[in-house]
Order: sequence, then structure tokens, then C-alpha cells
Amino acid sequence: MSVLEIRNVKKRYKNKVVLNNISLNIKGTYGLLGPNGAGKTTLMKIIATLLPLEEGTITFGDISWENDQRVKPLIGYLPQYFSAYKTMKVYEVLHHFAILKGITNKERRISELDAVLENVNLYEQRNEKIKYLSGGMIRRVGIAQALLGNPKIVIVDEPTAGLDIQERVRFRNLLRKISANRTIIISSHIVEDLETTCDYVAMMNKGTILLEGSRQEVLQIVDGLVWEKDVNSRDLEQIPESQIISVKEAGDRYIVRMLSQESIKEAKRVHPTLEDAYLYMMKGDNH
Amino acid sequence: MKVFNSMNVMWILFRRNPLFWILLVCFLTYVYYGFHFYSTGYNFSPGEALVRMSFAVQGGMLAFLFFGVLLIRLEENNHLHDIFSSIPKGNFSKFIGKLLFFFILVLLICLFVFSIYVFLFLPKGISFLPFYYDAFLYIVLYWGISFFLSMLIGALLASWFKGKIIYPLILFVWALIGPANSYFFGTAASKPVFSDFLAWINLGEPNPYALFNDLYGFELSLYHWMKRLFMLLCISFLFLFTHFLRKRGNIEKRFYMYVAVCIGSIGALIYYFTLDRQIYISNSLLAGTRERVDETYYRALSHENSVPHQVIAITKYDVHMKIKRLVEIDTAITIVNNQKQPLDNISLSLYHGFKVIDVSSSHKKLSFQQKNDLLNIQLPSELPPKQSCQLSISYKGLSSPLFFANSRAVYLPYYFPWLPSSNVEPAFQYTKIGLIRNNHQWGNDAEITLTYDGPTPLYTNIKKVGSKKWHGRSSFGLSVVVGKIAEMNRKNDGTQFVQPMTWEKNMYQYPEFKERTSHIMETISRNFHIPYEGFPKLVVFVPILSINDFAVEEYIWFASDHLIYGTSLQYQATILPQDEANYTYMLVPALTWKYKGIPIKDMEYLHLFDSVYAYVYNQQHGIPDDGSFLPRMNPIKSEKDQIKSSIVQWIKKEGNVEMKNRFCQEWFQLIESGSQDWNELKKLVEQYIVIKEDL
Amino acid sequence: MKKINLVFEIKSMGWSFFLPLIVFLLFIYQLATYQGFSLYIYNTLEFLIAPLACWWIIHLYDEYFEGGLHELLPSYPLSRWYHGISRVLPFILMYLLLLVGSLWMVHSVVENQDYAPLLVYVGTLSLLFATVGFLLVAIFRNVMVSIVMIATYVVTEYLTNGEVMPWYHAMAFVSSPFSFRDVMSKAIVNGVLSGFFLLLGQTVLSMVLTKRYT
Repeated sequence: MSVLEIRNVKKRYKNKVVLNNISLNIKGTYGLLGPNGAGKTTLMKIIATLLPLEEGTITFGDISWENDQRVKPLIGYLPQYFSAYKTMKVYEVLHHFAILKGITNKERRISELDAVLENVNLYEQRNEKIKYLSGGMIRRVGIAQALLGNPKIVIVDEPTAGLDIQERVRFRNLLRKISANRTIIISSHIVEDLETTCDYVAMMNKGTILLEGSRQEVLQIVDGLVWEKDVNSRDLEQIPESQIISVKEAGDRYIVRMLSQESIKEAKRVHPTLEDAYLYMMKGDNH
Repeated sequence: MKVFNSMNVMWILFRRNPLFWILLVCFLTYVYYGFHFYSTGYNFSPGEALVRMSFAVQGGMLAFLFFGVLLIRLEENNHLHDIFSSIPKGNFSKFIGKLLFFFILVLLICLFVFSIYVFLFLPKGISFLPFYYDAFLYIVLYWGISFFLSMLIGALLASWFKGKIIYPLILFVWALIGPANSYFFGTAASKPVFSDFLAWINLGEPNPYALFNDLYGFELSLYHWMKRLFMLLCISFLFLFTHFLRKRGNIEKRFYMYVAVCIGSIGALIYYFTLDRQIYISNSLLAGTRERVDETYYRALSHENSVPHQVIAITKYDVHMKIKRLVEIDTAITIVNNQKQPLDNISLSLYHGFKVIDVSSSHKKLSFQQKNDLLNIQLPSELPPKQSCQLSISYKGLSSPLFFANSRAVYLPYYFPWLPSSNVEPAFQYTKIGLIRNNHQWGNDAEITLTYDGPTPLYTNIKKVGSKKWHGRSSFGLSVVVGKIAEMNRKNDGTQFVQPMTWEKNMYQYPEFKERTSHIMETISRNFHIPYEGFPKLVVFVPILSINDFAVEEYIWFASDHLIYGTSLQYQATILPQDEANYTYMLVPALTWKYKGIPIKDMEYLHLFDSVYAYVYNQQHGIPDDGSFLPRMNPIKSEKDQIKSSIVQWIKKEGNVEMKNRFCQEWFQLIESGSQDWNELKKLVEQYIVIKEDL
Repeated sequence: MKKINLVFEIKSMGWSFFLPLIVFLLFIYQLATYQGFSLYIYNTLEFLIAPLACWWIIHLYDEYFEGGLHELLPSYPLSRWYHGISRVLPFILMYLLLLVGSLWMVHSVVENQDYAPLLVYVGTLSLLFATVGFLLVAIFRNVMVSIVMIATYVVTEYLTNGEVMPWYHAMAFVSSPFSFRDVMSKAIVNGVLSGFFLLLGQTVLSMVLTKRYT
């Protein structure tokens, strides 16, 4: 499978640099992690050809982003906010997208629509109007339209925004399911979204890439640096806030997860997670 | 397929919205009631039904401006815009699909409106297909295209402005581009520059406050189509420009081709608009209304235009007339010197809107001077008495707004100097009672050949002898009438009765009209010794008045070979006036002093004669006449008023009709002798009222 | 009533709030340059100033029905009256205040025009349009439809002199200074209709909001 190569991409809005020399090698299921305002959506929009590429290059095999008409057929895009015409039925909406994406052969269109509906588990709801669907279902309609035309690259911006816990889990599974034989780029500020779905991760902040690699490579950054300690409330107050990753209540005590280069007394070293790596990088970048 | 599917999506969205159906039903009911009002009873007027329905257009334009906003914001509201942008030609297909949807919606609305129109008027006796064809074009031009352009403007504004500022903007634009714009801008609309702008920017009926002119028909001049094409191109250009700014350089080559085509066409149309042309503007709120143009001109015109007295006759006219954007006439005339002295220059009347380009005789160019309505030509050599010479005169320009001549309609009657006339006086004169038309009938027999290239069918007082060619003789002049008129009585009595297609319903009155006219002709002929050549072969009954509608002298123009019977602009014109007595008042001046070609020196004097004799005639023939058409006499300020008052009082007294008739006969002899003098009239009055009355 | 936050409502209306103010300024300019043609002044009053009274009222519900607030606000501990009459009345009053001032100018500029009949007639006419606007926006839940309907009515009345359409003609078509006697019957009918439309609008709005919430 080809790699989506991003080289030295820059983007300015007025005088503000939004993306600063971004270079990435995107392949497989790829997560873009960063806080709000990091430039993720801008980068996504440039990849999705919604914003012009002003500086730098993007290529996918022999296809360059300089000619966006060649790029568009490669892309399925689900933006952060997605809704559809509320009085239209699920099938009608997807049918419309299918035609716009150039699936003009009727038989092929019907079979692809059926497959996509099955894939996103909306076959039963195909004759429901959009206005009667839950937030999760609408999001699934969104991913269904992105999959139409079998695009090589699927871009999903903030996939679980506004979904409840059950829907989030279901949606992450769906992303996993559709990832075969295509590149999926997921941008999110929610680490769990990427933890369970992505093979590769990049972390962004303030328009620059802090880190890029496979999930294992990323975890290695904080390998041996993550500690857990069982403390009471008075001890909790003594721990410097800059060290704390998370605090969990356990009865009248607290289990504190911390980052530290050195060993911590009465704490045990634990396996790092993506969240640990993310927080580690963000703290490093912010200080 | 992408475009059609996008269009279909719009249809699904609209048809599933109950508001769409509510609005559609309300609109059609509203249109039905509007048309129904003008298709029944006293208000019957097929033309007015469309013109007066400008209010529906104004309302519809607002709806379509909002539809334009919807066109842009529909995807934005549903967060779909980005997705369509990521699909190859996604947004373009959506945009064109939505435009197509609105285009078809507009077309369907036009068809619905037209169907209602036909449904209501066809059974009411309006059967001329060309009229319905025009009605359809009118609906397309002033309803359909206006709606569509409004939608595009709304879309353009919505693509520029986000948020709620769009509402006041839309309302402002609506007030600016609708047919009622001159109302919205109140007194400012009468300021000339702004007035012209408002007339130009108006996308609806150009004359929403004026009564429909059944002769001219709907104002469907090419200019109005071009104006809309221009707006369409400007809007397209602005869309392309907006696209260019948003894409920032990532533009296909085709784009530049579209821009070039747009700019080229816009440039060509700007040039087109700078050219002179005659369009029908009748809007009292605007400065350039047709009723005021000549009034302003002739009011300011000096009356000191002393013309040397000359007695010449034009005995032959060979006229080549072309009416397109301008009226272009090449005419060869034969002039005879009927005075005792030789002539080295001649003066002719020609309406000042026609600019003389060239005057020649035997291929030799002659010097000439054109000032106002007077054309002075230096002859190549002195023209001895009783000798003739031939002159070629070429001119082109615009006719008077009151005697229009353009690609839609032509009203160039014999009494208007559209052909060089030896009857030297201005086309109009401004009097106490306003602007009146001077009579330019020729006064001698002339042979006429007319080659005509312009709108058809043409009705004239000479015979058609070939394709685009007419030939004949007349001692009054040549009248050319084209418009939404038709010959109504082909199987009748040899007289061509021509009137607007929209007045077809009144034909049952024709026999009575003819009988009554013939009777008055016979009586006047006997009474005043005026020989007529029988009932005219051509009667043209048309709305020719828009100024001085109260002056009965303006209504009927009687030439030996044809009669022009005019009315004011009105609903449901009847051939016979509802007040029977009134018809006599209109006919008397036409059959007496106007027929004899007596020039107007004192309109008040002549008007008194007209009304007094008409009253006497009505008394003689038992036609009920309460004297309300006679001049009103209070307060009496001058001796003239005193004379008028004594005549009116005497004439209104019962009895002595024969004596009153004799008085009129003697009075007419005075007029025929060239007198329009109040002192002489006073003497005559004194003889009758004081002396003969006592006998 | 204390819960009505005028500044918030005005900010929420955005630019739309300023349209009537601009029209009033233009009207004042028209009065300042008055040259004796009273018909123009009466036309502006009957066909522009009075109908514009519906503008603010309709736009008060823009956020409710087109900004999605109708799903949120009914959950607040606010009475049905708050959503309807309580929000509408301050804007009607504000409009009437603008009228009171500008009609005084009309009275001063147009010879022989008494103030009281002018105020009563134009006031009730404006009230009528304001309440019709309220009713329409409650029924159709759509700003565009409400504005289009009122605008179409006004233009129709103007261009037809109130003759063609078989509906109630709210305008008296005045062209010269008038007294109470000339406009009293119109003012009474318009006033009564205003009250009726206001209550009907409130009822419809309450039904709409209750239905949406449940």
C-alpha cells in the first residue's frame, strides 16, 4: 500500500502560522493527536483538498496534491460536524453521495450502498429519516458516505465528538473494521479514540509535529517513566502537579499515575499507555 | 447525472416541507384571485391583469431572494459543504443541480400562472393567439426571469455575507430591484439620475403604476431581455470572482475562459445600453415618463418661431422606412411651388426626434438646417412658380414617446409630422389646457409609395402592393399603425375595423358605431357643406391618449380615407362611449375644422365651437345631453368669459334649435375664413342672442 | 418581565435590529426635506413605517426556530408567557416610542395634520402588523415565510389601492391631512384585531413550544 507523504507543509492565516513545516509518512490506520487548536483540522482539510496547499508537498504514490482533481477520488472525508438533510432518508442521502462520487452504474451503486449500510450496521435504518436518528447513527451515516466509492484514504476528523460512551466504542470498532486495505487518518484530542484504533500515531501541538511513529514506538518514549502510587489525600497534595498524569479514587485512598525520570518511593513502575505518552509530550512541549 | 440527482434532492427537500406546499397554494390562489378580478365585470382587462399583478411579482421576488440564501446555506446548515468540496466536482454539481431545480420551479410557476391566465380569459372572448404568446413571454420575462435573477442575487449575497445581516440586506435589495422600487424610494425617485437608475434596476414590470396600453401591448422590447441578460452575466461574473478569491490560484483554465466570455459579453452589452432606443416608460414617479418628455420640451419651446409664409405642396412621397432600434427613413418627395414668387429655400415640419442626415436633389447634396421641428432646406436653384423639384431626405432617430415607433409597436398617424410636411408648425403646442397635438394633414393630394421593414402586421391607409410594399394616394397623409391590434370585421362591410386584440369583446357595438358615425357625418356634411368621401375604408380604434385626455379634440382624427378613433388608456374600452352624447363631442372637431385642416390659433375658441355645436346636434337629434360637456363658466373674469357664458347660457335654453344650428353654421364660416377672433364672435353672438332671439 | 434582557435580545438579532432604525432615519430625512406633497408622507407611513413594526417581532424568533433554541428554551423554568407576549411587548413598545417621536414631526411638518388621530391610526396599524408578524412566525416557525407574507400583503395593497384581493384592507389609503372621523373605524378594527392576533399568536406559540418539548 502506498504511503501518504507530507513534506514541509506550511499554512498561515493572515500572519499566524497554523502549520509549521509539517512532514509525515501516513500509512495504515493513522492517528493525529493533539489539543484543540493544534492545527489538526487544518491539516486534515489540506489533505482532504478543502484548503489549498500553499507550501510543501503531499503525494500518495505518483499522485500529487498539486492537482486536486486527481486527489479527490482517493478521498473519503468525514468532518468534525456532520449532519445531513434532515427530511431525507438514510438510503436517499447515501444514494445521493454515491452518485456525486461518480458511481453511476445502477447495479454497482445498489450493491455498494447495501454493502456500506451493512458495514456500518445501518441496513435496518436505511428507510429512516435523518431527523429520527441518534447522534451515533448520524456519525455512522457520515462514515458510510466517506466509504462510498471505496476511497484509498479515509479522513475522519474528531470521530467520536458528541457521542455517548456506548456509541464511542461502537464507532471505534467500526473504524477498526473498515481499516483493511486503506489508509485511515483519524484526528482527535481524545486519546482513547486512537489507542484502540491506530497503528501509527503523530502528536501535534501549536502547528508542529512533536512525535511520529508506530504505537509501540510512541510508547517507548515513556517506557519506564510511568509510575503508580497508592496515597491518601494528604500525601496527594504533596505530589507536584507537573508529575501527575491521572488520579483514580479507590475508597478513601487514591491511585496516582505519575511521570518521572527517576524512581519514586513506594510507587510501582507500570506499562505506559498512549495517554501517558501524549501527556508527556505535551508537558515537554509546553514547558 | 450528478446534476440531475442534486436537482432531485432539492425536489425531495422541498416536497417534504409542508411550508413549500402552503406557500405554493397561497401563491396560486393569490394569482388566481388577482386575475379573476381583472377578468370579470367592470374591471375586465386582460392587459391590466398582468401589469397590475406586479405586486405578485414583488412578493415572489422576495421569496426567491430568500430561496437564494437557502441555496447557499442549505449545505452550510447541514455541515455538508466540506464533504461536497472533497468530492470531485461535488460542489459544482450541487450548485448547478440546485440552480436547475429553481429554474424548473420558476418555469413551472410561469406555466401555472399562464394556465390560470388562459383559463380565465379564453372563455371571456379573448381569442387571439399572438396575444397569449405575448402574455406568456411577459410572464417569462417579468415573473420567471425576475424570480430566477432574484434567487441568484440572494445566493450571491449569502455567499458573501454570513449571519443575520443577510435579512436587512435582502430587504434592501428587494426594495431596489422590484417593480415598486420607485415607491420605496419615495421623493428620491423623482430625482433624474436616481430615477433613471431605479428604472434601470427594476426587474419587474417597468410601468407598474400606468394603465396598460392596449395598442402597444406588453413592454417586451429586446432592451428588457438584454437588461436581464446583463444582470445574469454580472451575477455570473461576481460568482466566478468569488470562486477565484476562495480558490486562491488553484484554478482550472476553463475558469479563465468563462471569465473572459463574461467580461466580453458585459462590455458588449454596456455598449448596447449606451445606444439610443425607444422604450415605453410610463411611471409618474419617474422623471423620464413618456407623458412628460414632450410636455417639458414644448413648454420650454419658444413660440417666436416665425416661419416665412410659403405655399408649397408635396405631391409625391416615396418612403423607405426601417424600424429597428431607431426609425430610419429615406424619402424622396416632389415639391411644387404654389406661390407666385420663385422659391430658393423651403421649410418643412419634421419632429425633432428625427435627425436629418442628408438632403439631396439629383444626387447633389443640399445644405439644410434643422431646428426643433422645423427643417429648412436650401434649394439647388430657384424654383419657379408652378414648377416642381424632387428632394431626397434621409433621417433617423426616435419618434415622440406619444407617437411611439419601435420594434414592438408603431403609431405614426397622418397628423403627426413623422414625414416631412409642408404644414409648417411644431408637432405639439403647449396651451392653457396642456400639451395638444397640432394637425399636420397635407391639404393636397399626393401619391405615396411605402417600403417598410419593421414590426408587423402593419395597418395603413394605402394599399399593399407587394411584400413590404404599399402604394396609394391621400390628401391627408400617411398613417402607419402596428401593435397588438387586429382587423376585427373581415366579413363585414368593406371597412377594415382595427382595434386591440384585448378589446375583442366590444365588437357587437360596431354596427351601431358605424350607423351613428355615418349619421353625424351626413348631418355635418349637409350643415357645414363639407363633402366627405363616404364612410372611411379603415377605422383604427386605439388608445392614443395619455395627455389631455379631457380634451375632446384629441380623440378622433378623421381623414377622407381613414378614421383614427382614439380613447384614453382604460379598462374594457367600448366602441361607443357609455354616455351617448359624448361621442358627438368627440366627432364634431374631427369632422369640421380638423378635417378642413384649419390650424389652431386659439384652442379655447375652437373648443367652444366644438362643444356648442355638439350640444346643438344632440338637442336636434334627441340625444340626452345634460350639458355637462359644455365649458363651465364661473367665475367670469374677462370679456372672453362673458362671451362664452352668454353662448352657453343661450344654447342651454330649450327651443330654437334651428336658430342655434344656424348660429353654428355662421360661426363655422367665420372659422373657415381663418378667424378665431373673439370680437368677431361677439358680434355674431350679439346678432343671435340679442337680435334674432327677440324676433 | 425582569427576565427579559433587551440588550441580549438586540445582540441576538444582530444587524437585523438596525433596519427599522435606518428606515426611521430616512423617514426623518424625508420629513426634513418635505416640499408639500403630503401623499408621499402618508404613503411612507402606511406602507413602510407601519408594516415595519413586524420586523423586530419576527426576528425575535429567528434563534428560536432557525437557531435551534426551541429545543432548549422550553426546558428552562420560564413561563409560556415569557416566550411570547413578554418578549414581544417591549419591542412593540420600543417601536411605538419611535413612532410617537416621528409622528410628532409629521404633525409639525404637514400642515393641518392633528397629532392625536395620526398617532391613533398609525399606532394601531403598526400594532396590527407587529401582532400579525408574531402570529405568522408562531404558525410557520420561519422568518422568511412571515416576512414574505407581510411584504406581499403590503405591496399588493399599495399597488391595487386595496381593491383586488378579497381580504381585509388594513390601510385607510390617506393622502391628505385627516381627522379622527376619517380613520376611526379603521383604527378600532385594527386595534381589536391586534389584540386578537396577539392572543392567538401566544396560544399558537405555547402549543408549538409545548409540543416540541414533550
